[in-house]
Amino acid sequence: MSKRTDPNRPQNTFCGRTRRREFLTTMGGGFTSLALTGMLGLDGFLGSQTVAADGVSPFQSPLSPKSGHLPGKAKSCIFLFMYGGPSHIDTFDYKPEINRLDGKTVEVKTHGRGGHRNEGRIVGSPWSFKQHGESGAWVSDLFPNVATCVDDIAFLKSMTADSPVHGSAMLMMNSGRILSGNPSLGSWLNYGLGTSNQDLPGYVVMLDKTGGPISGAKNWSCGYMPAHYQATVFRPKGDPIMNLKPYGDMTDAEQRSVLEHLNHFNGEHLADRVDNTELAARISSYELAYRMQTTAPEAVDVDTEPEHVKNLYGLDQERTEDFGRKCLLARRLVERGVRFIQIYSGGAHNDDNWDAHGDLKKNHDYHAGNTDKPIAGLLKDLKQRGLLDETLVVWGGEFGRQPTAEYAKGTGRDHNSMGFTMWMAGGGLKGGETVGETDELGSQAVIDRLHVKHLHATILQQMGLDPNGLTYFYNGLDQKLVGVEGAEPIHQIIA
Amino acid sequence: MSILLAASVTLCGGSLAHAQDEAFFTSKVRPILEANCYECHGAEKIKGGLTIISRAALVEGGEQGPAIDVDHPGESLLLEMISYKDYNHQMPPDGKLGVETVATLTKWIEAGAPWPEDAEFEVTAERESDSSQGRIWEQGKSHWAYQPLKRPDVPKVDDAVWNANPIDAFVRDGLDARGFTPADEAERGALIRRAYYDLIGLPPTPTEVRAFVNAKSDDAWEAVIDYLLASPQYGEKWGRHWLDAVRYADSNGYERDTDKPYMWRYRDYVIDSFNTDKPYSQFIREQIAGDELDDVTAETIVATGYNRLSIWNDEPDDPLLARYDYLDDIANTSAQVMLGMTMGCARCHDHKIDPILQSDYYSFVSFFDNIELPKRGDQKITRSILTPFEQQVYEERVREKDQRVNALVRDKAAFEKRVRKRMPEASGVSDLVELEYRFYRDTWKELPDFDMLRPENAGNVANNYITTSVATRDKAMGIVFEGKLNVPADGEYTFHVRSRDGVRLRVGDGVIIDQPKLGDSKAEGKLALKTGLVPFRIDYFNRAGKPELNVVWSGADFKMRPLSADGSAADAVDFDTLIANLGDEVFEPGERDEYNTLKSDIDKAKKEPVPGKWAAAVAERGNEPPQAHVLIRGNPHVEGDEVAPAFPSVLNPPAPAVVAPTEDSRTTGRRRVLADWIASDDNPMTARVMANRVWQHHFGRGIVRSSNDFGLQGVKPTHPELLNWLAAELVAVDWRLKPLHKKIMISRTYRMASTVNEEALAKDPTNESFWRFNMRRLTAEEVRDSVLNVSGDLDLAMGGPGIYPTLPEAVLSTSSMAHAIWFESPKEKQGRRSIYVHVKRSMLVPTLTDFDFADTDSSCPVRFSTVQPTQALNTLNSRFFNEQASRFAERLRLEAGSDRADQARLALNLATSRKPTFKEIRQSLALMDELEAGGTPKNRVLDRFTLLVLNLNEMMYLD
Repeated sequence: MSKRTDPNRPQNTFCGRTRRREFLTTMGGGFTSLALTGMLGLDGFLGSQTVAADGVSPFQSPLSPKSGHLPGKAKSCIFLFMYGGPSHIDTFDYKPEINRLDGKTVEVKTHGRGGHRNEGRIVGSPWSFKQHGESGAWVSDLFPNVATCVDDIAFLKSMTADSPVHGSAMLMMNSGRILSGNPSLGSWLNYGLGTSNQDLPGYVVMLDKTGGPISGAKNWSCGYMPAHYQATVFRPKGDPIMNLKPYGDMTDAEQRSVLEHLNHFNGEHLADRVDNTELAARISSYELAYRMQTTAPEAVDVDTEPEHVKNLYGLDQERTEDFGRKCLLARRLVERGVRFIQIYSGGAHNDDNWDAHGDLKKNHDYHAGNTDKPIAGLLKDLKQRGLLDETLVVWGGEFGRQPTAEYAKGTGRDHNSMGFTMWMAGGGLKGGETVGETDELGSQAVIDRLHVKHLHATILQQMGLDPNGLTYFYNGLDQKLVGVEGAEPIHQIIA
Repeated sequence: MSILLAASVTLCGGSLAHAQDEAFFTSKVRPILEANCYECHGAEKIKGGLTIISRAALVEGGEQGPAIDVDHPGESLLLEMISYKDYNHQMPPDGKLGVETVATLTKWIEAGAPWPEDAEFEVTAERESDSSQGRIWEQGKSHWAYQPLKRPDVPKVDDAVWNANPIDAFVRDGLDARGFTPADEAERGALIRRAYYDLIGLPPTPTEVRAFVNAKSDDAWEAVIDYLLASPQYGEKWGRHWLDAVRYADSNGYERDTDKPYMWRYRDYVIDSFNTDKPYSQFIREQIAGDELDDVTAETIVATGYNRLSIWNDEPDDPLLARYDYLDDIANTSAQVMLGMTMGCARCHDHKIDPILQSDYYSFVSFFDNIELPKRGDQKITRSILTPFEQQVYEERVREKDQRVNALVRDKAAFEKRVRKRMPEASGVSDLVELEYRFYRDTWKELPDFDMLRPENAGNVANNYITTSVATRDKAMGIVFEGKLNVPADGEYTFHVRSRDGVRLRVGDGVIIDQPKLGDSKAEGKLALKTGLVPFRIDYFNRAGKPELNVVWSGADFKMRPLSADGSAADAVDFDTLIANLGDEVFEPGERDEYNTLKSDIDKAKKEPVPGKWAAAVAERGNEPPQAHVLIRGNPHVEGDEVAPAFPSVLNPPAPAVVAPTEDSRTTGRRRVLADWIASDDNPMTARVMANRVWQHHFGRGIVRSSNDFGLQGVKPTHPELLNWLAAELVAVDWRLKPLHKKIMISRTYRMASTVNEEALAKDPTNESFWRFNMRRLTAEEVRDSVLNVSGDLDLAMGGPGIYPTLPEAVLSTSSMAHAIWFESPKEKQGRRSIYVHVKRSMLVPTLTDFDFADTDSSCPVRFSTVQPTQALNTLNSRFFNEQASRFAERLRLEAGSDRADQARLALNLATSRKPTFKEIRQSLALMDELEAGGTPKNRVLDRFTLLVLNLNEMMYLD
């Protein structure tokens, strides 16, 4: 983890083999044999191949699995990102007071895209709430299926963030800062832990069918870290990642011929430069690429799943098919050792996501209806496979919504970053717990107030990383996901 | 300084007369402070400068002022904080205290916060920050980089060859000390390839290689260097290094990631500056303060685009914070790139590692303090760069154009008036009454339910004619008109509506016309009405085009009477609406043509371009310098002490020569003062930092590896004296880079081979001592440009707006506005060099990012060089590589004929700059035979082979 790597530390020499003939003899195995990979080992491929941003080279094996600082409960994390800002007071944060005051103009401080206001017309929730499970957690009828899982869920009802504007709030939820250019959560996890499956990317993002969120790729950027840690965008159908198939009319056999001969050329070139591990790494990167052409499509092939599993995720219904497929795919990726998976519900702008400025009911009925069953299916499936303990599931958006109406008429709610709800499940957290409270209208967090950095600290902690010890030296500073001042994980929900 | 108990005791002023006060404090108040405040405001951690260890400490307060107000205890800041009334002033941060707890503290403070002497918290430790700052300043005083620059003595080494060039003497001296033998000279083929890529980012042609390898003359090597330094591609290669450092991009990065207009002129300016070997000192002056120099030209104005390069948030939640983020980005980048100092760390507090005070930081920022930020929708960053004479001509032409248009418009008006006289229905008195409008601002794809939205403004329409001119902008807007229609008699009426975009008409109880979608529409609706006033309402929105809303109605006794008027009240009838509905019957012979001609003449006259020239340039808010302050903990809402412009104090700099701006000055003149200091010969940092960058881009690493950080935390120089010598040399050659390049490249050190030396490798595996030349992979741009180069598609055209290569759908779909932000260039433009690829911060080209293109959001001093399977997937399977492989094959057929061995020979020669061996030709033919035997179509065999060539390690790596 240390960033100030001693530049005098010996680099990998090529397994001590520097004589040309000896080398060529070992190389003779041809492309498809595993001889080369075996010989190089993971270190050969991944070791000492980058120069860090501060110019201190070399870097230690950027993606080989690393043990974290702490014994982590979770091995993977699935972040269900409800882009646009789902309303906490219409989903999980039950506020009977807003129904009592429905339609009345009251004094309440709010701060959204419409700026600061001191009063507003309360909009009661159009959905009814009931208590569920042994924990008695309140859930509105937007999420009838998730409601059956509340005893596995820890609710964070006093979340706060630094901005009530989509772009900067998205960056904050993803990278801890409202300014772009910083590595995202998935990058930090892969930087800290590496990936346990070299045939698949360690950080996967799946977008909504309407498009990416505001600021696009900035949300899954690796910022000032090297490109190993950036996300790969997966598509749930067709080719999951770019450039995964031979181009045009090239056949697999042709590609293999090309690769085998390429290997000979590159082997000859390497023979006079055997101390250069980067050249060897590039040779074996072709082998990995070739393997990914098989492993990646196999990972996304959810059609091989039994019907009852597919139905559990709602693949049998038109409106839940899309998000359900992504959730099921997420489980398959978790099984294959992918470290961090982020799924977006909602994309593009306005009502294509949870940004309910106009008709609250129509918007949230639509987005919750598309995701409720798949989310519950994911939790249940992970649990029945014994994977929930080692998989951290996070649900939430970049902020919540205000108790008051945005406009003179109608039910639309403006953004609210002063108090909102997120939830986490699995990964060694306590189910059935609730931390924090907002005021009686849900306008701001007042008890056990939590910040995005506490959420991030908890994720890092459960994944086995010390949130205040995971640093990356850049721009004269030991940078941290949780900020220079540090942050504690949310101890109340850690089992 | 240590805070000792004794110091504060004497200040205790609260009433301690009553024993019950003491008991109240000890039993009630102190436990609350201990449980809720002490962790962050105790003796160890002192957040916000506030400690709560004693009453005196509370009175002294922290960064936000005294915690308790002795004179008016009820108004104490502490009470405001715990009341939780103001979201930005709340303590403790993790939640409001209980009602009883708040009551206890309130009672205590209102009683004057009595605090018994013996109940103060114990403090023993010194404040950590005080002592560590002292240590840092002690170290800073003697830190090598902060010392004045002196040309060092050149050592003498035993080997005479290494004494000729001081660079070699310094390097050899170090090698001798460690007992290493330097590597032999590289072979000429490797050397020329190295030189070409280093200076122009492209490989030599086979002919150029041959000429150099066979050259007999001693100065052949110098001739190669001179040729390359004079080549215009030199600026494209070295300009790109600078663009990395200053985080160049063509877009703003935030939210919708809008483009920065004309930013590319700055990119071209950088390329030109390198090509003309502009003194680096002048280069700095122009970029920071090109608008404040004695001699301001179009070029120096373009240079100030430097101040516009940062990410910019067009929709900030906190505009003041966004302003300081913007200024911070400029100041921090300038300090790192030009001075090798990480000033940004001192934004919130004194630097924890380097001797930079928070006041140093704000003094530094104050040079940029008056810069005007762009505004959403009106970026306010473009400035005309015409010469005064050209500007005069330009303005004259604009005036002439306006006159031409106006004359035609007058002709058309006269014509309309003539025709109008024949139309009795155009009374000028509207059939609508009490017409009101509500204007909305947003972007829709379909007519929204306006009743759910909040109008931006509303009012009466004076002349009762529907008109889009009530809107304060003509795009992304909506209007609702509501009033009464005066129906003259019972009967059936027809309404005609033409609009762009959606429209809905309600008359009486019902919707008569409903065209809610985008686009032009033309509709009619009929209904029966009774005499009298009938409710009338029309909803309208326009997204991106020119708004148009025309409404007319007809009844039994009248035809086509307008209800809308896009124009002034006096000219109530929209002529186009009328003739569109009435047809040619209103015209007399020839008038239709006359009218059409007038219309098209006006259109033509309006569209006629008046060529101007614009640049993204800096602007200030005026010439009045604002008073700068330290911002407490970096919070722009909490101003601390005033600061004046000053240079970082650790460098013992001169006082800035700030001059009051003249009355007609557009700016404060402060940036000029900073630029002059940075660019002065006496600045200890500037020359060292730039000389190090030059070295870095020749040798793969700087003498100081952390080339943006020369501070205490930076990596120590491996050859400090060599660096001092290079820096002194840079100043001595009038800050010109080309002589420095040459000095470096003719050195024996630069000409070393990259071959291994077992002993040195074992003792110095990372080549700290430069015992050999480091191999390197091509940069992202070199990869793409080299592929285009061998295929023959490379287009060496220079300058101009960026190009947009074809992007895979998978990349386009990651944007929230997928097809509105990438404007694919025509195929024939896609062969331009990579430095001309449009840099969209949220949508970078995969071929470049896969090969470690620079981060665009912050300064990139050193590029990564990663090896990843996604690179292999790209070079094997991407459309770009495969199309290029086919183009490459076409070229081979054309230039090498149909013989496969000849084709293979040329392909390998082009890709590696050397003659292929027989074995390699055999290997190539073996592949082609194998493919053909396996059934690959004949015309595809060569495509597969060229794809292999594009994937060779030898093509991607330099010896």
